[in-house]
Amino acid sequence: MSSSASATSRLSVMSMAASLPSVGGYSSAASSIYAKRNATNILERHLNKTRGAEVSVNAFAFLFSEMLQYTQKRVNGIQDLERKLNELGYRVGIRALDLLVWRDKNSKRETRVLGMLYFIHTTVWKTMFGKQADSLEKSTENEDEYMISDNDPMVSKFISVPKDVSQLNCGAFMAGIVEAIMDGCQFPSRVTAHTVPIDGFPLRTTILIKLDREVLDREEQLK
Amino acid sequence: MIFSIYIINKAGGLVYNKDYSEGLSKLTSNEYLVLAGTFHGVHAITSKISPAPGSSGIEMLETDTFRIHCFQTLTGTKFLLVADPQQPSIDMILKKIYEIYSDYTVKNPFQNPEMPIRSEQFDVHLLKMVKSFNGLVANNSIPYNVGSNAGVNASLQSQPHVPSLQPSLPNIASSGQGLGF
Repeated sequence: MSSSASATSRLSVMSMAASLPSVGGYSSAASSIYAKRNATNILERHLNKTRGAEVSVNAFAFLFSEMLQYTQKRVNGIQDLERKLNELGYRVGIRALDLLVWRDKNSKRETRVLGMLYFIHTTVWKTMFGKQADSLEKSTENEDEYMISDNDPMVSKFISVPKDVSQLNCGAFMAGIVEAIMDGCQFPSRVTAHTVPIDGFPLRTTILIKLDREVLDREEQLK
Repeated sequence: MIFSIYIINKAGGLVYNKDYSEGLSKLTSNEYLVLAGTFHGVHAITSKISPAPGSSGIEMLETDTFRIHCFQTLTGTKFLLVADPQQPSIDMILKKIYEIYSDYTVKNPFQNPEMPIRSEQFDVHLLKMVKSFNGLVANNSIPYNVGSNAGVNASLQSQPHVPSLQPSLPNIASSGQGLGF
């Protein structure tokens, strides 16, 4: 009894120090405990299992709040802050794209702009924010502009922007994510976030995607 | 009926005050600050002079026309609720205020802790919550007021009001859900 207990404790120390993939020679009781530890370790978890692996909205809200406060101290002006938020989002987006493509077994590489935008509107939004985006529109004024709107964006759910920085939209973070995904799929574009309040949805945010010339040229050839 | 809500930070400074009822006697902004500071002091004293150790400090002040309820969080922030003596579900209202406070000021990156609260969403959600409770009380308090001076007739009248409580109960639940996530 005592020997198995000491084996267990040794094992847990080992797995904490350097989570080795396999440790032979221990009793079956110890190895089952080892398996249990694996189940709770985020690095050992299977990437395709999403159930129960969601992050709480509150945890995200606190983290995002800290990110904003940190960034705010290190920038000059609102434009700079939005650019910085966009960069932070970009780093998230480039990783999220990898994960999404890996998880989606039937995924193919999108070659057309609309298919790409639809992927962002549905799959990306659903994985990131737990719901689809509320609309996907093409700009009537400019050929190269598309808009994805979210009526109640999760990132700014708890944020009230003060009057003196009212132009700021924290959706710049989401814009960065979208920009990274567009970039990663070979649709280079400039993505910005704008607050467009409508009745009942004061926080409604529109993500404006301005495609690069080369994307439009390619689109023309594929027609 | 909810009359006012005050929030006092852990140093005894008033960080938020809002009146929700018409016809309250007006206080100057200085008087609000004095009120907050005084209450903070009294709260500290009451917890010290308690004969039983580990007392919580003052929780309610009562007068003929109103009560002041106090709820102190673990971090020392105090929520004061000025309400009608007949106001039901005080605990729930205070919890709800705490919830709205932690959602829309603590998680707001533009809000500094311990500083006066200027969060638009906090105002909006608090007002929505107060309205839902005040609307409910306005309907239910009628039999109480009439019953005090109008004998048998009124008590008979209040009888049919009892079932009317039933449909208004889901009202609490639905308004609570709307405010949450």
